Amino acid sequence: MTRLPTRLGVLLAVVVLAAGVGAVNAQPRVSNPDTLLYGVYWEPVNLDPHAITDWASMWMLDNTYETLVRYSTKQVQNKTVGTADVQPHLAEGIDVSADGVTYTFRLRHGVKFHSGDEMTADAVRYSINRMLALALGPSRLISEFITPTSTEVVDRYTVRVKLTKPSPLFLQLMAGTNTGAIVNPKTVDAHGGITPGKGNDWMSRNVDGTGPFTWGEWRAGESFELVANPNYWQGAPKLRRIAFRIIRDFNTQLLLLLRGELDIVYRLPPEMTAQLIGNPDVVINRENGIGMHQIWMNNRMSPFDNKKVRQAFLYALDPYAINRAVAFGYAETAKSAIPSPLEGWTGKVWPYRVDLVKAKSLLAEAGYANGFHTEIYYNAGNSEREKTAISAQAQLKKAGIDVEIRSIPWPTFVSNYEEGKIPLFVLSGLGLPIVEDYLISNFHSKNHGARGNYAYYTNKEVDALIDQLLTAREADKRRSIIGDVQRLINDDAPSAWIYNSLLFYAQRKWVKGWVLYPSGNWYFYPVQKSL
Amino acid sequence: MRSSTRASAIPKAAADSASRPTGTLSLLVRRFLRNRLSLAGLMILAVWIAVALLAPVLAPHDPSDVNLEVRLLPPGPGGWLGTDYYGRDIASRIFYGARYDLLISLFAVGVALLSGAPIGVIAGYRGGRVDNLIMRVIDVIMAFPALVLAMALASVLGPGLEKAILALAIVGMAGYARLARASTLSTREEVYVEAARALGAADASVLWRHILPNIISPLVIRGTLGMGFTVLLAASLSFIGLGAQPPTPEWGAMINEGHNQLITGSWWVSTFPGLAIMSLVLGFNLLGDGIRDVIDPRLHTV
Amino acid sequence: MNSAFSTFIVRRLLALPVILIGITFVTFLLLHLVPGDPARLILGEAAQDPQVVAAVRHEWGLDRPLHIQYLQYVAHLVRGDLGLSIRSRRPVSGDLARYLPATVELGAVSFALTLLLGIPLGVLSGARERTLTDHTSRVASLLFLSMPSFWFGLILIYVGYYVLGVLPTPTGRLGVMDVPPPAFTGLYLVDSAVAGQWGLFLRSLWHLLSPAFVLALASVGLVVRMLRASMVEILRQDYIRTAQAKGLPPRAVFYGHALRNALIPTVTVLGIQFASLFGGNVLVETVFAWPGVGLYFVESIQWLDYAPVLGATALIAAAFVTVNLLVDVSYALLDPRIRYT
Repeated sequence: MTRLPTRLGVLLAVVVLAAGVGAVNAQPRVSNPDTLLYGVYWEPVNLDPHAITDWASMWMLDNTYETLVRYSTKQVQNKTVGTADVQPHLAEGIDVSADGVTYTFRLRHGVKFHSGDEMTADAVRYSINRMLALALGPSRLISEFITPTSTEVVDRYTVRVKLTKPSPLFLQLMAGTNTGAIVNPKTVDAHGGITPGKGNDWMSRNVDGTGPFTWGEWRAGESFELVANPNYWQGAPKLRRIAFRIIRDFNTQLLLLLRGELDIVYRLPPEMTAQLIGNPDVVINRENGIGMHQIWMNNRMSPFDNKKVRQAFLYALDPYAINRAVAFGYAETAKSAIPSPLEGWTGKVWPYRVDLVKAKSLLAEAGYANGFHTEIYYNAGNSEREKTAISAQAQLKKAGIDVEIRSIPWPTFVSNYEEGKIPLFVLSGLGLPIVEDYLISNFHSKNHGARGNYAYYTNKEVDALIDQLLTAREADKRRSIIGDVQRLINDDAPSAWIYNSLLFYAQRKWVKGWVLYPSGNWYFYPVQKSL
Repeated sequence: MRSSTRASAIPKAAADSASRPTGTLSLLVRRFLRNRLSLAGLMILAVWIAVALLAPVLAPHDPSDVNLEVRLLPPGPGGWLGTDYYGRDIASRIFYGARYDLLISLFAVGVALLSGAPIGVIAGYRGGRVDNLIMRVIDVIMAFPALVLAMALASVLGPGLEKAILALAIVGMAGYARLARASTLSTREEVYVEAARALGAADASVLWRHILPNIISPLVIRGTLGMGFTVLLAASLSFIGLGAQPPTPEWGAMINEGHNQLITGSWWVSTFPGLAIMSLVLGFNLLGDGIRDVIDPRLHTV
Repeated sequence: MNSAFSTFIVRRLLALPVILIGITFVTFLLLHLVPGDPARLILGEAAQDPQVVAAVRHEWGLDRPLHIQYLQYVAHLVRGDLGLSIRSRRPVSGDLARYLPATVELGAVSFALTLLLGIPLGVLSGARERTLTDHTSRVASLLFLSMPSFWFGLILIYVGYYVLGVLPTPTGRLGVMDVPPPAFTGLYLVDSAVAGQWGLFLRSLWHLLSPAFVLALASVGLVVRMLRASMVEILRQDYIRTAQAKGLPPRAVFYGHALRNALIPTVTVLGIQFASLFGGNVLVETVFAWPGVGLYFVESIQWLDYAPVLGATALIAAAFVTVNLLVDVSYALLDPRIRYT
């Protein structure tokens, strides 16, 4: 058995746009020092970790439930940032067998659920098997290499998991709150137990985890809150309460932040962020998410079934200008088919630049010397996508591509792109920091449509390389496979990538200890308010 | 929004008293011209129609010309109403926008009126079961808040200006049907109509010669006021992204495009299209009021 | 009370459930005509697995024929069961119980504002026909009617809160740090008064005023026009002249005869305003972050969450139809000339 080295992760680009240096005038007092006021425009939908499919619920449960392992942090220029490497958390130590199939977790002693029961090996086995039995969203990747008999209790504080095949994904999935959360068997059993294939109504409204916060009052449509767990095994958190206020209008969120009535706002539209630069009381955190802001092309629909047309499209688009128009240039303009925080990303196999002559000649070769007419879709009300569509429309016109803009309601939008009914659409996602997961769902031909390959892209060579990657464990080999995949996909141009998905968090300067992770986890335990 | 106006622009009392115009056309015109407010309404509309027709001449810039170098300029030398997020000239967009807002209201009200009125007349004239069935359907449609129904219809019909117009027309239809029915009912029982029927006049002839002249004026009044309301409803639809599609310079869509910049101090992007909407709707309302005052004799018994 | 009148009321009451069923039918039909699949929407990423989608569709009965789904909905509805939200698994009736008080409170305050502003303006305008007062109030009321209310809300927030700093934060029913009063009716004004929390009472009233004002303006416009017209008409009636000729004091003529009669036709307008104010205003609720039924509707339709959309629509429409019935009844009682057809 070898001790698991924390695996090579990928650099997270967290750039802090430093706020005005050394404001001399008197600092305002910290308002509500023991309460973090968080402005959001969404609301969690479900509090059952093994049933959730949305980020909002996940962000809440990151603080109420815990996992055996968790992503680690590191120091970059005096700033703590999250990494894509995992380290033990509820487990004190992990042993992995040489063949990469058997994982042995040694659990921390004395970790208690909110209800007071101790977290033991039984709870771990129960939790993994519950997730498999519910077979809802979270289980989809993990069930490829774990079965209900994989997990075995060695003793009260030791659990052994035997995978059906070696997988580099296993530990990362155990670090995800919806895949790795440890629930209290007694609580679940007291409220209806496990029904295969079905969520549990009590669990979806209540929380009994081991995390530093418990679930507080929830006023649907108005507010919800996390309340400190004074008996947390690492000591009570510094904040007494994290109060989320649902404010759908970004203008209002921004106003409240400027007035110090909110401490953090999540994902402001970039055009508003401009106003915050230079404000001495506000800090803007910018993070590259795991996703690309892109204009998808339907590779099965004419004329985008023609590779030359798709390439012409990429030559005609100016992603830098769109970045400037939409994100004030704050985003990282695309230089490859995958997001830059992912393992193995390279910007060296990117053939495109703005070149209208080349675009026109490619169009002529494809038989569209006089250009063509098409439509671009996005969901009504999404200003980032709307701005992208409007900018792209103006650019493509110059290459003779006449694009009509269509904004449609969200449900219609989703069914249209999943079923491949629309030629062009603007969409950006937020995924896990796992390169296999990203490649499989976005580019593998077995995942056409609803499964994630919305472009209906097919390249057998790419499929084969992704399949190889699933079992490749040596770093060099992985890097070369991932590089080859990018080269092939970039050349095929199944989609027009604009920039790396951008997450903006604007916060008062007095909020300290907020760490961003490429995985998208939100951990409030280290957060405090001080000047 | 403002579902109220749909149901009540002409309250029942006015519909009940929808009697025949009490004067010759020239008298009516003279009466109309005497009313300064209605004249003002006419002027406002005339100005907007002229602006819409002359937009290419009046507008200093192409309304969808994206130029990021001049984005969000305040009103001033860069453009008298400033520029928007994409550096487009707001004045030019408002000029071109007049075309869309006028067309939307004209077509939506036209379709609603021409389809709703015959339904109402049939219901009122036939009475009985047909009437009952039609009225229940109308009750159902009118129980929906206008914007809610328009949103649902726009979602079903899909994106695009013509679809939005159709959605607005369906929303408006029920009101015209109900009004036409009420007027038909009251006219049908007039002595001279009953006499004509007793003398064996054909239904078509009774409808054409007696009913139609009597229901036209309330419908015209309501239609004029309805245009104002339709402009507002269309703007609301565009505000939530379900109406006119970008980069169409429809005014409601322009308010939407500017509303995220309001806070960063660029107040002009949303403010001016809002004022444009207000003036156009005001024009329709003043005109509608004027027409009503002229046609409805109750106010001129002095 | 004569028999024609009772028949009229009974007939209208009988029509009520029919209309309500009709409303759910139309909503159901429209919802299912919107392309999209709620199961896939709530599953998001997880919708990659067709079996998971099928399981969810089965659990929620979405795999059954449409007419069966509708009949089942109606069967539950008749028993007062509005179903569960597919997205949150919460019962719709519980959700509506939370969102409705916000809408009712806003509607009540804006209706009060409508009366406070509309009636004096309308009476004044009618009583002083063709004076400066009249022209000013007419033009003002027309302007109120002609504004897009969502736009006016935005401008009001920008000027009142951001530039001048005199209006409260547009954060819905209370400020960010306020703790709502103990839930009793769900109406913050009532609950805070019952609990004796007068500071909270004032703050919640303060938050109510801006959106209520924006909502009230359009209604004020309608009320002023209607009231002015009937005032002008009535002041020219013979019986008013007779009363004046008899030497009754002008005050008595005005309040005793003119105002009372002029208010009758206004009742219809007021009633419709009342109904529509309680139906909530989707865009004003959005602009002011007001957690009312309109907002609930918008959020639910985003996810094609059938039961909440149906429940909210049915509720709004039911309120509208019921209030309309009440208005017709009171109108009939006030004005004996009305025929009950």
